[in-house]
Amino acid sequence: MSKQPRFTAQTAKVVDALIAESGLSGVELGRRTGLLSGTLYPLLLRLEEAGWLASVWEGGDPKVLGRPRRRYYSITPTGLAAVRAAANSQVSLFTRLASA
Amino acid sequence: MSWVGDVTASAVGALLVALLLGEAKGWAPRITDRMLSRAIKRLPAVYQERFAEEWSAAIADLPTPVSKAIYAVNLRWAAERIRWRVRPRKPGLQIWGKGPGGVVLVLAGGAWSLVARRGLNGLGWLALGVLVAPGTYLLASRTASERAKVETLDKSIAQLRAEIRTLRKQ
Repeated sequence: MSKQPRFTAQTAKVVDALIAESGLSGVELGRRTGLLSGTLYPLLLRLEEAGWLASVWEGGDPKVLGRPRRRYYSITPTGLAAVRAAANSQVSLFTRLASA
Repeated sequence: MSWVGDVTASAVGALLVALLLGEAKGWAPRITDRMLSRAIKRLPAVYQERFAEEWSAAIADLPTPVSKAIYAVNLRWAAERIRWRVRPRKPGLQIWGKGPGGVVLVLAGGAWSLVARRGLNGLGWLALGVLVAPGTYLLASRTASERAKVETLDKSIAQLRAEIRTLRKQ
């Protein structure tokens, strides 16, 4: 597991989409988050290597499917906890700013 | 007669757009294939097999040739970013121990910015001296230390060669 990723707006979008529906492919995540593939895949890889996301190959033989297999992403319990912690710290920051 | 000009311009514009779209549709599959294969090649070896299949599946899921081509061009960018992230870190300029070589750059940058702002009047010269002198000293001392290491290594090599010669004679 590598170092903890930064909780950016893009990270938040990806995590939000995966909390709403687990097991999404890269294309589907791109549609839901509005992120381009050039941004999305490096981010997915970074989150996966940090243990925030897990990915699995689509079941079935590509010959039977008639196309290459998709890879489906989902958020892990570690990722969920990390995201909650990051979101809470952001909330407290914004609360402080709002009351300043 | 102005309406004739408008209609002609519209017709020519529509024709051009149609031609360009047709051309783009014709070229898109080739662009997609080329960009995808280049993206895969640019990836670190450990990721190539995985992303070759995953990205091929992603492109297959897209509806039009042009959208596939745009996606593939972006994948090329994704590959560069992944490659950059996992690149082997070369040991850069080191000023002391494990410290970053950036210290000298920061000092030089600070001096430069002060001189640029103030010009080379009294304060500018003072800033130049205060910021650059320690950096120069650190660089010089580090260079001396590295040179000493190289000399020690040279001595060891010479000693080993002498031992090898002795062994051959025996």
